[in-house]
Amino acid sequence: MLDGVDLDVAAGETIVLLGRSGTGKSVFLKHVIGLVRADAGTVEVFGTDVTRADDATWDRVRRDVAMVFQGAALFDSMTVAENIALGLKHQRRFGRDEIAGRVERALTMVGLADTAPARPSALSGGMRKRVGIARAVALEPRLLLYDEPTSGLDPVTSDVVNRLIRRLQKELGVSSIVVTHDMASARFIGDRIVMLHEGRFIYDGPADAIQHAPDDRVRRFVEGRSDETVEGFASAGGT
Amino acid sequence: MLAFLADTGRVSLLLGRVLAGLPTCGRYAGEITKQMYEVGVASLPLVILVAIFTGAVTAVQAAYQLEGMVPLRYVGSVVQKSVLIELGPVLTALVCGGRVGASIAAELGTMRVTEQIDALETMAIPPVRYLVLPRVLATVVMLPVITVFADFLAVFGGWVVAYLALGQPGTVYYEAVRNTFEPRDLYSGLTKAAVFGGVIGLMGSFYGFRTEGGAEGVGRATTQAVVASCILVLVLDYVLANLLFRVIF
Repeated sequence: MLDGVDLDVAAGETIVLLGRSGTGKSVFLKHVIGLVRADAGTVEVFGTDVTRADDATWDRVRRDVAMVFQGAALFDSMTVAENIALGLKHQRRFGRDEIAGRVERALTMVGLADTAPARPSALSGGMRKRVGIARAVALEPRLLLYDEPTSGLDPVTSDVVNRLIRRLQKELGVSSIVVTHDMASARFIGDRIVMLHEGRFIYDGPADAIQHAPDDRVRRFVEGRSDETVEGFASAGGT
Repeated sequence: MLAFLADTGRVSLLLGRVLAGLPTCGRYAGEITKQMYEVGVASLPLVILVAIFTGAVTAVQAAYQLEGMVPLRYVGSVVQKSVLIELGPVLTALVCGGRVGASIAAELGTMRVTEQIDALETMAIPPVRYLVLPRVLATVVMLPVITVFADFLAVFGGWVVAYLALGQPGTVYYEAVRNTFEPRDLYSGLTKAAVFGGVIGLMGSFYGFRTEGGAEGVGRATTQAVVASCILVLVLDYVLANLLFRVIF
């Protein structure tokens, strides 16, 4: 699915990964955090070759990388606070007070301090996404991966999440890779935009220059313009 | 056939990873306790109901089959032997295979399709140790415990029938139960229950973990877990009966 993709992320930089459905954007993120293993080639995260890494190496790498899932992936059987504390507890590096403090700070940062005792099922879609972000931020990673952070949200809630992501970048200085289809979101969040097409990057440049990209496939995506008929799209395996 | 062998290999690998995680089970004590409650305490009402009626039916059937050949004062012996060796562990396992196995597969399957298992992995929490180990350990420990309850209540169910329907004095049934009791019957039954517990926990976890395809996939995983647990319980019952009574005890 991915072929010869190479992406360097500078410290504090936010890269938006664009592309049509099924082009491998989420798969790319999953390679970075070890949810999918590469059949060939190499994957390096913070200088560590993780292509065939053992569990101990992944545990080390995952202390520096956190992921925000498309559906938030909150644990239904736990409260919001327990969701955020789980990863910290498992690291066994922090005392109870330190964990409680980090949970409180993370929830305050996403504007949901009063939801700590609530169950995820009692929250709206936007709130669940923000708790997902708080859970990732509480781990204080060097790299944050966002998989479709605004999908399924109304425009106003999307804007809240976009502003939150932007604010976290400024306040925490964390590097981020954001997978999205949403052009408004991409322009607002991204320092740099990368577009994936048929397993390869066909655009890699500043967010504000993408509409003038030389590749017609990039401009068509940005303008939301398709040259395909519905029949052609279906026969090409589109979704 | 190839798919069956591949699944057998995958289940063996999962079992290996569970066993490898045993030394770390202290870290998951909270999860293990929670699962023990779910498997044991929460299953008791159903097991109680099944056990009482199993004992009662066994007493009725025993009386029907012994009549005219063997004195009916031996009904208690028949009920006690049947329950301790066979009916207690097997029926408890089948009931739990349905209730607990389905619940484990549905819970883990939902966690799989909603990326909760992936989320655990990204937080460097090993999903097999955090999710499967507590469930398998809880079923292995709690199945024998609820089988003891089932055995006792089934024998009691037989006593009710002997007293009310067959008109036996209560002490006759009690004496028959006591005089023919052999500890190895109980031990073999409880050994079977522990193995059946492991099978139920492992099958529920295996099918839950490999769920794909949303709600439909969760439903399919649940059905597969229950069917596989029940078949394995019955097959292993035969294997263990030979092993326990001909070799070990």
